[in-house]
Amino acid sequence: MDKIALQRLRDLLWFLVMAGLVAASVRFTRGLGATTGLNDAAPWGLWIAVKLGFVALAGGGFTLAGLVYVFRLESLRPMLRRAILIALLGYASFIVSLLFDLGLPWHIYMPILNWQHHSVMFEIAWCVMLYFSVLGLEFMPVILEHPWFARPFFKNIYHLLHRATIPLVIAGIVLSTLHQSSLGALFLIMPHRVHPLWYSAWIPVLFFTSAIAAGLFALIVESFVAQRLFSSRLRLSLLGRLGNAGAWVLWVYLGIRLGDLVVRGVLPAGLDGSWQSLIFVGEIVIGGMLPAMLLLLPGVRANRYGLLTCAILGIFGVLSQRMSLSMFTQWRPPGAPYFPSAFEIIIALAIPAAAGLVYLLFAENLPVLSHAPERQYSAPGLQHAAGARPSQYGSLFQRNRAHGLQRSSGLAVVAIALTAAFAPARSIQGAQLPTSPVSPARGWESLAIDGNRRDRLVIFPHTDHQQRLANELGERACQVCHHLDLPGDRATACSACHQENDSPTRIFDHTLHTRQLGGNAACQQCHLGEHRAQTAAACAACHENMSSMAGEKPFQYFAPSYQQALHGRCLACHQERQAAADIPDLASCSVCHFKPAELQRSNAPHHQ
Amino acid sequence: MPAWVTLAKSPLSRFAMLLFALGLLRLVLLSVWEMHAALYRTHRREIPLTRLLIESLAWLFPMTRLYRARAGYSLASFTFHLGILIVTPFLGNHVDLFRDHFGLAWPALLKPVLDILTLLTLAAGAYLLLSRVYNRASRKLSNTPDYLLLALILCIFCSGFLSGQSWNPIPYDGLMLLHIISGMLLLAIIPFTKIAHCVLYPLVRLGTFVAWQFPPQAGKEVVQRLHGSEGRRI
Repeated sequence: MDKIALQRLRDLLWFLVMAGLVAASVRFTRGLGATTGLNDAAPWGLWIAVKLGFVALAGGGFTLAGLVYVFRLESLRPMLRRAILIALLGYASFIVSLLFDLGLPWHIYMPILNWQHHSVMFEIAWCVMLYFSVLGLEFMPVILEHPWFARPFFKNIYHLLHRATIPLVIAGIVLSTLHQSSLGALFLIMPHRVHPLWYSAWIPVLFFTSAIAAGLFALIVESFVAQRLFSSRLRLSLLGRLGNAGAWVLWVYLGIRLGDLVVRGVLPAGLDGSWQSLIFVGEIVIGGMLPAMLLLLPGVRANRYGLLTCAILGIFGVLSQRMSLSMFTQWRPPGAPYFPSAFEIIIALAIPAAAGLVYLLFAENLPVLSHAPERQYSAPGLQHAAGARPSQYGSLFQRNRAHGLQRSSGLAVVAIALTAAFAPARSIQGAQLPTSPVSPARGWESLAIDGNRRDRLVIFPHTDHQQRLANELGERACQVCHHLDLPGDRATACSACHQENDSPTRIFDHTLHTRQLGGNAACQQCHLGEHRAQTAAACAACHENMSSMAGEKPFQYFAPSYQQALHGRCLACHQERQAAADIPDLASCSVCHFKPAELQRSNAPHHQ
Repeated sequence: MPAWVTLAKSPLSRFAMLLFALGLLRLVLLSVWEMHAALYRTHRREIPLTRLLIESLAWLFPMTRLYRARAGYSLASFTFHLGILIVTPFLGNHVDLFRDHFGLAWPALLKPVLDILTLLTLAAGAYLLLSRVYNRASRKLSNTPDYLLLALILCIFCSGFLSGQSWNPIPYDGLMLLHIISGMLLLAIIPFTKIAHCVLYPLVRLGTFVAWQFPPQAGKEVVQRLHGSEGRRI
């Protein structure tokens, strides 16, 4: 048993799972919009693609069960348990990722109650539920062989399950045949979205055959991993037979795929040099023909590296087909691009990582890899038979457990802190206000004010206001509106400080002020006492040409939004005068927001 | 925006704070769990909690043991801890930060009081550092992290103190950058260094008590391990 490799692998998987925990908590509290790159125009993304991959890799379960129990190929029986475990984990991953992808995950039980006979989803939901249950029942005997379940009650269940094996296997084959093909059938209803090189009326059949091939190849890869990690016996001749079978299935898949393309006359599109055609050629040649051809050679099958390489290539080909179909080459409307967000990628990695941890747990503690358990079970009282001395305290097992707890909790802290700290602001704080830069008012005698350029102008009679106010206030007339000027300027435009139409603008530069006033010795010029924002002096204390209006705070980091500033300034005056001079409706909307027909542009894009 | 404000608002500072909080939480949970496991093995259930609590509280005030050796060291250590525990949470600027970001507020202490406390802390810290270097026994017991951690804390206090003074000769923004960087570094490494005693202190006496409880027949097993399965009469 390679303990170091096992420990490293387990650490990596655990790290990913903990990162996924943060992503999952954000996804289930803030929703899909905050955590994914999906939108209404591109509603299917990475999670769907990964989910199809899980199901493809799970295909070995029903294939091997059928070969052993129905076709009576008893020589394949040593591979049966691991095949069923992989299928179980694949389907568990599918269901967990489905929870992430559903907009209302708590409605997942709905297909049980509401029967929509015409929906492909309805068939998929039922098949997944039933087949997952069947897989659980098929795997249950392996769990019940653990010494924990040595009581007669569990033994009875064990024997019952043994007697029900054949019906369970047949149900499993039927259900997964239905399910694999109906997953493909989902894409039949979107010919306008799926790229022609991947779209086919035969998608259900393609999905079914490719799942058989991918499942067999996944078994081969798993055998190599188990041999590396647990030193389990590598049955090379058996794996060679699986590889051979996988190659033939791959040829069938390729034949249907290419034949359909030829019949529909789409095949030339696969060679037109577009990036889709490159994926297509790579998928067919490197992930299809190459392994299918090589695996037919006995020399390749007898060589462990040859076998492993071919199996990995074959898996790549099948996964590429499913991911291209559902994600890469899907048509999306222009202006709605899709790229998976960080959280989507983390969750897409964390779910198989969790499945991997469960696999390691089962492989270590249950008789999965072979019929003889990996860990020697013995009667209670003789637990320390091999190597370790009998001891009540500080025994090897307990020390290992304490060490493992420290290690895994430390990794968890780092993973959670990293993910939570570097999570995109969008997913923590929700959607941010888009920036809304203001366009300055145009004109002089009359100002055309339209901060957001929506063509809903306000015509402001500037000179008229100047004269009215000058009659009343004389010199200080301008400062009523131009209350803060840039240094060396008089009557700075509103848009110089109120730079955003809908959100405040930060206008105070602390670094500039300390530098101008002579560094640290100058603190006391603005801050009376402590060096805090509250103790800062008003701008007008130094800048003599700046006036503060009544009700305005003496010092502000932020200038309010353009809209708020203009409404505030105009309305304050208008309301005052409406009351004082008894001019009705002076403060009503239509005084400024009237509609001079000759000024409205025709065909304005945003005009309502 | 000055660089230090950008840094303080960056994910990096969030990372440091999360490491601090989660890491300390992990240490507390781990030590509680390990004590529980140890007690479970010893079959001993009764713990003199009151006595342990009184002992812990008594050790908070080393002045009660001033008649022992190294009275100056005890006094300096006490001052140093007191300064850290009062100045850090009750500084007006820190209170502002907490109020703005977490919505929690409490009254701040007056700046002159804090300035005096900071100076006392700096003096005590310098004394601790020097006594580590010049006291033979301390020097032999010290390793690199002991010096570096003390220096890091002094660096944080120095930069923070100077940035609030009008006679400070160093540029304000640079000093604040140093303050933020060293503060973030300290927060991030606290759970992995001996400063973790800031949360583990209440558990120390309890842990020592638990560690010295042995399961029944433990002595026999020790003898067996040392002298083979037969065991030799002592």
